[in-house]
Amino acid sequence: MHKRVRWLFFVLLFLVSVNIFAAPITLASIQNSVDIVWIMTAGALVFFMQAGFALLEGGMVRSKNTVNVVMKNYTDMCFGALAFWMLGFGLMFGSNISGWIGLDHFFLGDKETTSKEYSLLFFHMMFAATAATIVSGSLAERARFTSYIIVSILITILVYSVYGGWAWGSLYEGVGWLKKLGFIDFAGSTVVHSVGGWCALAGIIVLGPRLGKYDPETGKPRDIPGHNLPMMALGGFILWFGWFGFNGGSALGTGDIGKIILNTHLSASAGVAGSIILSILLNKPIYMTRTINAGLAGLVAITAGCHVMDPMYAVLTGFVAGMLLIVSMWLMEKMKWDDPVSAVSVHGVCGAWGTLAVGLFQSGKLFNIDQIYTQLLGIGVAFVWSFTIAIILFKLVDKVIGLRASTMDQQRGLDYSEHYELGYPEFQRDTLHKRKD
Amino acid sequence: MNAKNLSDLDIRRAVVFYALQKFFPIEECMEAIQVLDDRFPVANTFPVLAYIDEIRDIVNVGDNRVKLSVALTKGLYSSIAPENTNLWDAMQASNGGTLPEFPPNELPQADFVDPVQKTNAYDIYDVNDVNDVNDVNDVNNVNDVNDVNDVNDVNDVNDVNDVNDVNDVNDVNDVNDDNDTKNKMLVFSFMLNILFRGIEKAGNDKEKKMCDHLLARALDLDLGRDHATKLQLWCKSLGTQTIGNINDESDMIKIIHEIYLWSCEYLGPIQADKLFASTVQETEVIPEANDYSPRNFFE
Repeated sequence: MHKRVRWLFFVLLFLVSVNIFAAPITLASIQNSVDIVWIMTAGALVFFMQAGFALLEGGMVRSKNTVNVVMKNYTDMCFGALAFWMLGFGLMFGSNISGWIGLDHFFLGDKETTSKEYSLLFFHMMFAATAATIVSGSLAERARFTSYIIVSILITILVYSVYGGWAWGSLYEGVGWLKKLGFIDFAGSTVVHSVGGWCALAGIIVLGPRLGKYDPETGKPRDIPGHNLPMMALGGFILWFGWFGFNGGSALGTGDIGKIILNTHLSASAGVAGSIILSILLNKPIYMTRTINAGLAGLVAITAGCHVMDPMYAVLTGFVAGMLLIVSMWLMEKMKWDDPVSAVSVHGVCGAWGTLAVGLFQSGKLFNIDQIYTQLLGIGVAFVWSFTIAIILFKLVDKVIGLRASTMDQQRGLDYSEHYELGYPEFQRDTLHKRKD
Repeated sequence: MNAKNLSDLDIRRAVVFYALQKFFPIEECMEAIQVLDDRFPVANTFPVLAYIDEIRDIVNVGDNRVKLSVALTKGLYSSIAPENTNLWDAMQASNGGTLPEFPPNELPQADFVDPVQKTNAYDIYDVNDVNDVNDVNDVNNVNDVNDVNDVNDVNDVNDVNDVNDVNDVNDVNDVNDDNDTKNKMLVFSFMLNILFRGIEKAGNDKEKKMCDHLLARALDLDLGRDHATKLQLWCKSLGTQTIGNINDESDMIKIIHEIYLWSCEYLGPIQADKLFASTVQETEVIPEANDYSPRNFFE
């Protein structure tokens, strides 16, 4: 019996050895495998950021709208992924001879597709979902679910993928025109975050503020506090954690991830410090919501240049982003725009700042005028393209199927009026829905 | 709301006394009634909670505050009213005698709408309302109503018996519709008055502003000239009277929507939600809300 087992063991060992030695192992192939593993892990971390967005946004809205916000985050990721696989990847990374739009590699996946291509598709699919999900928080508590999902899909295809192609394309033939000019946006301060932020701004303008956000007599904004701030804080932690994959994975390999992830962490920390110091200087309360958003502002800002900045400048970038967040939120209120989760300030404004910071603080090329000009061009183009297309899409959807939930639906809460479910059925006494029985 | 319970001071006394005597000794109730006459002499208005605060020194309200408030609200605002206004006198004469229960068979109907004129004329609309025809459980003359096939056969004019059956069905439908409308209007009116009080509490003449807004929007809401006038009258009475015979559910919903919108803008969304939630909860206490839920107005 023992002899038989021993023989069997040797035969198996032989077969495995033959298989291993059949393909020669080189340093490059090992590096390639490690890179793929890292990209997939980073993609999973970016996927986990969706949970962070859901918790962050869910906690910042009233309890009657929690399910709706979480549903929007969950479903825009799913539909965004499908849309990106079908059309987005091709538009963004397909052969781009003109520099304006990718024309192949739609519905990616055939015999010739390499493992690296699959992993890149997965990774960038998560990025596309992130850009789309930024919008959901800004429209919270008043946008209809179906309308939002439609706009979200269109934004993923028409806004994000096209602009992404200009800045990052292509993986095959040709180069995006912005990339050709030398525009630097490492992990998407502008491509992902500003684009999402500007689309959110368009949605906010078309949709209008939540009922009663601004006092019609005095014009002053009213506080509409979120229902669960610890939940929001947990969302902030998860986003921060996921950002290590967001920026680290964008290296598309393991080479520089030490510096990239360190810069990411430092910038976020400096963002929090910047907002707290400015709040103290302005004699304002140190809100937890604002502090967590400041951390995100630092993360968004460093996303463009985390690979080319020294840690000192990463700190400076984050610090300024934290301060800029407070100024931007104040401006949003002055303009009477209602952004329940401050997505425009965090992602739009701080994303633009971070992209500009690459021109200012690039290691070895401090305050490079040419680079600053290119960065400004990229920022401006991102704003014009995303805001214009998004506002057309929002208006179109609003006209065709209606974007804003009715007054009474808003009163009952979108959880019930859109999904017939309540986030906290035992505790929600303020909703006026008819009982199911 | 039953205007009669509020507008007639005698009935109001009797109703309040009837509610109080469930909780307190008769002597204390008498003193509490004196407060009612002294401090709230004007008919048509009766802030229940303010009254309870006033009588706290006389009677030991204690944990019964909520129960007492509900009992008073039910008594004053429900369609059930004591028929005999001499009840109070009888009770005074007996100086603590037990109050008789209101004979249920003799309760007067709420006076919201003009009673429907029952005629033998054939009402095609009611016959078409098959859902109402199916609702035959409460009807005494069940046999006639069960003959639904005969109702369908309305072209056969020669069949006199069938026509009579149809008339019976029409009568039943009219009564059901009448009750439904009454309940709906009572619930609506009750809600509006609570909302009005809530908005009034916010101060700064908010209630007047709300009324001005409603009147300004009356035409936009397509309420019709008649309903707009009723709304105007209601607003002029500062929400103390019934709102007239606005009996179309869609109009009621429009008005509730408009008040909610206004409340969100002028009181703030958090305050508005609280006000509307508490209003619905208070309204659900009245018996008519069992037949017509105030939540229907938020559809």
